[in-house]
Order: sequence, then C-alpha cells, then structure tokens
Amino acid sequence: MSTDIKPETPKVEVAPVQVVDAEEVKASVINDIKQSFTLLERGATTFDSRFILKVFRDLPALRKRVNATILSKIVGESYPDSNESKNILLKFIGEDTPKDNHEMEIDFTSNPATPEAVVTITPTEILPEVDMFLHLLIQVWLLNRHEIEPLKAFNEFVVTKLKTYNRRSLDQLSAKIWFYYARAKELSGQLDEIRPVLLNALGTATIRHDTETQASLITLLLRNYVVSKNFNQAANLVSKTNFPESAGNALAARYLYYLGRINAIQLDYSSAHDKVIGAIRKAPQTKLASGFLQSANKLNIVIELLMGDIPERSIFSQRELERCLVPYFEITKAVRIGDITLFSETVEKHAEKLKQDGNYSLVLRLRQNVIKTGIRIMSLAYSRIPLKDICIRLHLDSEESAEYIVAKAIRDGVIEATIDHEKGFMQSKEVLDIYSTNEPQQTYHDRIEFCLGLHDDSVKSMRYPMSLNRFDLKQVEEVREREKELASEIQEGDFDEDDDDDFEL
Amino acid sequence: MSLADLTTHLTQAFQASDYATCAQTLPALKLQLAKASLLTPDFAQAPVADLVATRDILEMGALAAVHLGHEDQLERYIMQLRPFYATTVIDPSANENKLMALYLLLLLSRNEIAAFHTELETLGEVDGALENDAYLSYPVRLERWLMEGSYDKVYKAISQQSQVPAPEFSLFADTLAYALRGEIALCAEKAYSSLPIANARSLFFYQSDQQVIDFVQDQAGWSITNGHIVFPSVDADELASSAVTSLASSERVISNTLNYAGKVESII
Repeated sequence: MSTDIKPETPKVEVAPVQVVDAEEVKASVINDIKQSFTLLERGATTFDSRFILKVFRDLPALRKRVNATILSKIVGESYPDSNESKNILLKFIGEDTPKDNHEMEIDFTSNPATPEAVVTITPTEILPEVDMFLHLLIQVWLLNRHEIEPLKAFNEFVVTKLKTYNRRSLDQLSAKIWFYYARAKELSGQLDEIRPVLLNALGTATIRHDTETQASLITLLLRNYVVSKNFNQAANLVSKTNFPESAGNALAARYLYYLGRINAIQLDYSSAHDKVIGAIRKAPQTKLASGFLQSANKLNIVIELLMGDIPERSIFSQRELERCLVPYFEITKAVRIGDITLFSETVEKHAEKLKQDGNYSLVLRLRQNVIKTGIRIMSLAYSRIPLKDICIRLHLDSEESAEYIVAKAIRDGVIEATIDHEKGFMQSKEVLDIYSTNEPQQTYHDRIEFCLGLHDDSVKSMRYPMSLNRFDLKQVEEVREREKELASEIQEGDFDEDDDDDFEL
Repeated sequence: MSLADLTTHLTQAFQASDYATCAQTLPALKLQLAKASLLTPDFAQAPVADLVATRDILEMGALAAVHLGHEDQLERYIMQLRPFYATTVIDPSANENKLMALYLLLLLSRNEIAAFHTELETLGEVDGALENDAYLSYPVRLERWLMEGSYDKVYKAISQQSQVPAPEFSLFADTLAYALRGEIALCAEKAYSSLPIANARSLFFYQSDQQVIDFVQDQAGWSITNGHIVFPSVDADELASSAVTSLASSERVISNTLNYAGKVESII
C-alpha cells in the first residue's frame, strides 16, 4: 500500500494536514470496499443473498466517497495481471482523470504506479461477484460525476461481460448493473434504443429464474414506456409478465407505482389507488427516497380525488412533502367546495407544474368530479331546488345542460334524487341510513380479511437459518454469532435506499 | 401491376373521391408493400422517400375506410401507421392529427373510454396539442362533455356542420348520436318517474313524436300511457332484488364466518 502513496505525496503543495486526512479517508474507504468483498465472498459460498444485500446497503455511503485513486488502487490489487478486464477498467477510470482538479491529478500520477504495487500482492484469480461489484462501483462513480458518455461505453463492456457469467449469486448485482445501464441511456435520451436490449435481457433472466434481475428489468422497461408515454405497450408488458414476488421492496414499490399510473390512465381508479398506496408503504422512508414519495403522493392525491374522495389534510402537512404538494392542495380545495370556476383557475395557475409531474391530463378529468360535488352539496342542503338555480350556482351554461348533468349524477349514484321535468326542479330523496344496508358488514369483512392477510404474509416472510442441523455444535455457535452480527448491522444500516433519487418522473 | 402503378391508381381514385375503387386497389397494393418489406419497415435502413410513400398510402387507406364506414379497417390502418408517426426519420405528416382524432372519435363512439384516455396520454406529449389542434380538440371536448353530462353540447357539436372540423368527422355523427341517446336513456330511467312525450322529444334530440315512440319501444321496461313515458320504477326493482339479496347475503355471511373459523384454526 505504501509504495502506492509515495509518488504522490511530494506532488501535493497544499497543507500537509489535509493530505493526512485524505489518506486516512482513503484507507478507510479501501477498507470498507475490502470488507464488501468478504461479504460478497461469503454470499457466494453460502448462497445467502443477505450478505449481498448488506453490501448494497453500504453502497450509497460508499459511492460518495470513492474516487479515481481509490478505484484504480482497488482494481489494481484485486485483479491478477493475466485478467484482461484489469487494463480496460483502469483505462475507464484513468481516461477522464486529467479533466478533474487537484485530487484527480494525484491519481493520474498514481495510475502508472499501480501495476507495480500489485506485484507484491498478486492475486491468482478473482471471484465473479467481486469482479462485477467492482464494475458496478465504477458505473456508480461515473454516474455520480455525470460522465454519461464514458459511462455508456463502459456499460456496453459491463453488460457483455455480465452475459458470460451464469451464477445465481450474481443476480442482485446484475439487477443493479442493468439499472445503471438503463439510467445512462435514459439520461442521454436513447429510450427507443435500449428497449430491445432490455427485453432480451428480461428473456434471459426469466429463463434463468433470476428473479432479482427480472424485477429490475421489468421496472426499467415500464419506466421506459411511461416516460415515453407508451401506455399501451406498458399495459401489454404488465399483462405479459409476472412480477416476481420475492423481489426487493424498492423494486416492488417502483413497480407498483408504474402500475398505479397505468391503471389511473385506464380509468381503473380503485386498483390504481391500491397500487399507489402499496408503493408509498413499500418505499423506503428515508431522505433519499423523498423524490419517489413526492411523486407517489401526488399521484395518490389525484387518484383519490378522481375516486370522489377527499384526501386527508394530514397528507398535505407532512414536512418533506408540504412544499411540493401546494398545487395539489389548492386543487383539492376547489374540488371539495365544488366550485368549477375556482377549479379552472387553479388548474390554469399550476398547469406547468402539473404537466411536469405528468398528472395534467388526470387533473383535467377532475372537472366532472367538481360538478358532481357541487350537485351533491346542493342536494344535501335542499330537499327541492329548481334546475335554474343549480345552473346559476354551478356556473353552467344552460338550464338544459343542468338537467342532463343532474340526471347523470343520479345515474352515477352521486345523489339520491329525482327530476320533475315539467316543473323543472330536482327533488332529493331522504338520506338512506347506511347502517340499514350491508355496507358495514362488507367493510368489517374487508378489515378482517386484511388482518388475516397481514398475518399470513408475516408468517411467510419469517426466515430461519439454513440447514442448521448439518453443522456441529461449535459451528452452530459461530453461525449464531455471525447472524447476530449481521442482524445488528442490518438494524444500524438504513433500508435499501440506493438510487431512489431518480424516482421523479 | 407494379407498386408505382398501383400507387398512382390509388392516388387518382382517392383524389376523385372514388373510395370504392380505393378499397379495391388497396389489398393488392398492401401485398406489394409487404413484399418490399415496407409495411413493417426498418426505419434505420429503408429509404426516406419509400417510407413517406408507404405512409401516404396507408393514410389514404385509412381515410377511405372512414368514408366507407369500415371501422375495423380504420383501426387496422391506424395500428399500421403508428410506427410511421412514432419515428423521427421522416417528417411528420399533415394528416397525423386528423387521423388520430378520427380514431379517438371511433373509440368514443364505441364507449371505449379507457383506450381513449390511453391514446390521449400518448398524444398529449406535444405541449398544448390537445387543446389547440383543431382536429384533436374535437374528440377531447366531446369526451369531456360526455363525462360531465352536458349532452346538449355534445349533440350540438356532432349535429351542426359548423362545429365539425372536417367532413370526415361527421361520418361518425350517427354512431355517436346513437351512443348518446343510449346514455341519456340510462340517465332518464333513473332520474324521472315519468316524462311527457313532447318533452322527451327534445330531451332525446328527435324531430318527431313518432321517432320517440319507436325509441321507447326499443327500451326494455319502458311504456307509454296518456302521452307520458313511464319508466320502470326503481322501488319495484329493489323490492324484487332485495328478496334475492337477503338470501345471498346470509349465504355470504355463513361462508365468511366459516372462512374466518378456518383461518383462526390455522393460526392457533
């Protein structure tokens, strides 16, 4: 390690204290990466995906700390000289270094030094997991620096390499690698091009029962279709594929969100509502996912309004969401009052924002709800009201229109009333006592079903240590120790919060 | 006949508004196109002029289908045109919005609202296209009025020539009016207990009382007494169905309870 550092220290002219800090940080980062390697190895030998998930949990923190120096060093130490990937990786890391400032200058000089450093360590072979993890790390690093062009070139290389492996312990890694692959293409606007590539990969993943990659690719394709507004294709994809149940929560949340959006477009509001609620609940509740939570909440509000419900006020007063939900709050107010002019004004005022969120056309559909709310309020307040008054209150164009609209409201079950055409008034029926119907029974049944379902799901998701009886007692204890360690690590670490920052549409 | 001959033949027939000849020429032409693999072309490789020509042929086919009232054919042509509209290789067609608007109208007349909105979302990508385009805004407006219940506005829009953006659009007027009356009938059934025929005439946009009487006879459960249309009473309906539902609901309660018992058993 020391041989590597030596040539760069004289180069730095700034305060030496900083250098020490930088060196310390560097050492700790390298240490962390090395630790990830051990976890990966363990995951590969025990076929336990939890070890790999643990690595991912550390990834967001890690990706902010890596730099070219660290990467080239790690790559240099991990690969045997005979491995041809080594030089390619080093090229990708080194390629763009001169562009960068001070810190990157250091590593430029260190690059030629790395091969020498390796001589002392000389690994004979590299584990595929570690291999792919390093690739992933470089992908993340390039994306972090917004170097889209090199990232795309690198992606092609990674994906080709990925195809040569067929190991189930790589599933989680390949899911992530595909994500960054698609992300880079999306950032450069090549949405059309990657579809066949992704679909091909999806086919391969499905055949191999690689559920994690499958889930990742399905969400990527859905996102692709939704972003390019190909809702027909998106709906087709959903109907032709099975989203694997065992997929991770972050992926499932994303999948549900897109599904909810598609359902909402197709006017299937109640299932859209279920999906979006599911997405909000499954999403990681951390800062990194707030972009996703924002768009999911926006969509949820619109769907609730479309269903004729008024979202609860508490939704709008959540701290992280408060600001971005303002347009939706004002629209909700307009819908609640049933004032069509206020509604039109509000929509006009926030049109830009709504279009940006992709909810504009959904909000426009609310117009009819606003009218219905207005009629409902009136039918509750008056037992008999002339159509002419309705027309005036709701700012409708003609009495004729009012008659049709009221008739439609009656048919849709918004109000309980009849119209007297000859005398031109609307007569409200008495409000039905809800407790005399089957409604409470049905609701009660739904709740019981929910609780039972929750119980079943909890039982299903319980995990037991794998085939313990095969070990002898000493090993058991060792394993327990390790489990405990892992459990505490899991508790300390946050949820899988990686890559949630690009949830926003 | 070769591809070029057929194309000129079709163009001539189309310009002379001889849509029957168009319909006759098209199958042979499409066969030729398929042989030249232009029907499902590779946009990166096919020559631009050929692509434009293929698109024009398909557009003529679609418009001819509209004039001849072949709804299924229109739908098929739209599907075939879709990749031509999606690509950026060739310049956008002047007919694109018109044809898409016609397709939207077709969906509307079939009451396929979900498909309508899916299509709309795809079209809405271009900013302001839906509100400002003369063709596209027409079906959009119709749908909005249909959904909120302003049926009189819808009828005016489909029956008055001045409001129709292009002559092709009025070809859907009959189907739309039929669908519209169906909607109104459903509403009227629930909203009124009885209605004088004279009023019903204006409500259903009919010219004469006889048409109303014919219409009433097509509806199940409607009858005419003393010049009033009498709608089937909702209460009578409910009474009849409540006897059935009470039986069904007790059955449901039993099956639910058995279900709970099974679940609780498995938990313990």
